[in-house]
Amino acid sequence: MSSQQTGTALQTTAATEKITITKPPLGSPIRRTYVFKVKRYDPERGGGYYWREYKIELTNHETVLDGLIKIKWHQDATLSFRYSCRMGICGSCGMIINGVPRLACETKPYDLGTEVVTIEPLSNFEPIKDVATDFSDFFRKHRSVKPWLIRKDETEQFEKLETYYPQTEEQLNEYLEFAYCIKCGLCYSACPMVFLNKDYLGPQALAQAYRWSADNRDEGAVLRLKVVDSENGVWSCHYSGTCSKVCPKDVDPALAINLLKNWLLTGRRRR
Amino acid sequence: MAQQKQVKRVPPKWSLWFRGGLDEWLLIFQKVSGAILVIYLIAHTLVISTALGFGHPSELTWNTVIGFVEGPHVAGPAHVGTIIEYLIALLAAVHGGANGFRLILTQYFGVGLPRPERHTFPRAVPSVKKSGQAWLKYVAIIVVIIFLILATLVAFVW
Ligand code: SF4
Ligand code: FES
Repeated sequence: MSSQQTGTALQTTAATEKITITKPPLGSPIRRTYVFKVKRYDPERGGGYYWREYKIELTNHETVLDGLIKIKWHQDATLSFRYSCRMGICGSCGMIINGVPRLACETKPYDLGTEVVTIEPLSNFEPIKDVATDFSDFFRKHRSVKPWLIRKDETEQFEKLETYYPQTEEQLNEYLEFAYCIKCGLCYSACPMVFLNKDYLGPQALAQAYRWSADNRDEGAVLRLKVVDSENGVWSCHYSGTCSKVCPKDVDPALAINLLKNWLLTGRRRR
Repeated sequence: MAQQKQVKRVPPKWSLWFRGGLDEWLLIFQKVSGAILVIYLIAHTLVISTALGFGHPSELTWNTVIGFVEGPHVAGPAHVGTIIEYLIALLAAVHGGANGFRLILTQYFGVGLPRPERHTFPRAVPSVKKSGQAWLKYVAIIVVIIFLILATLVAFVW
């Protein structure tokens, strides 16, 4: 593959805005200077959002998060953002990069193909400082769908577990797709309905409601369906599908929500 | 955290709506057409009620009201107002119907909903973009266009 040796730009597909990952180009790294335009907010400073620009040199292997860390070290120690794993698994570094909610540690400025990289805090979340946003509502909603295995027998669930719960490959596949969620909040941030209805549970929580209810070891589907069968549950979803298009883990929350609606309308889980 | 926030959460970017495909636009039209139908229903009832002599029973009122609603004359039976009214009502009714039918098919009958399957991470195609659902959206749009053409022919030409 000649593209590997010459290091041609990786392609973005305009339709999904997801970056097609090929093997990183071999050879010496390609250096470029980027302008990071960051939408900042400081509660102590007052006066709402303001923009700052930073010039930063990055290679084609470095991510937006690497750039932000460099800026914090060498240019502006007051810049705040949240991150932990730097490998797309903790879900802390969600931000709006060039207009689309993405994980900063999974997005390379080189792949974006623009010289100016705009970075904004996640929409639909209240900002805490700069790019770090307040996830308490989001996690409260996640908790409200009871995202854990529920057994009818409480002794079995809480006191003594005397049996294993076997699961076949097929049974695993029923929900595995939705179990990949890392709670990054990108889907929640992209959803127009979450903005219009502040109390809407949002794609993430609803996808988890389906994930746990579709698990053959679980017996609590009735409880969860009661929570999601409400105005702030699945019926606030008007099916814009944006959640599934931005999810970095390909969880497809829109599918889970539609399966939940289908379940509620027909009275049985679609298999 | 009782401290007062000075800034509010911001809405999702509008630019997202231009790259996602059809779903977002169908949603916008669905909501707008619903609102139009409600407003239209109320306005229509009010206008017709003047003809039946409710409120202010006189021929003068009816003529003034309908004259105001219809606006300047264009050709044949067509006035500016009637054309606008016709377009709005038709688009709203047909789009609301066709797209609503699509939503019922998907959400109640599960048309186009794939089975959850083993992940092809990374970069799987989300269900909303798969052909199973895409054709339904195109059918909805084609139905809207066909109905628009037919209704125009019936109303103004035939
Ligand atoms: S469903 Fe996807 S976008 Fe939403 S929180 Fe989970 S991993 Fe993030
Ligand atoms: S830092 Fe953990 S997902 Fe980006």
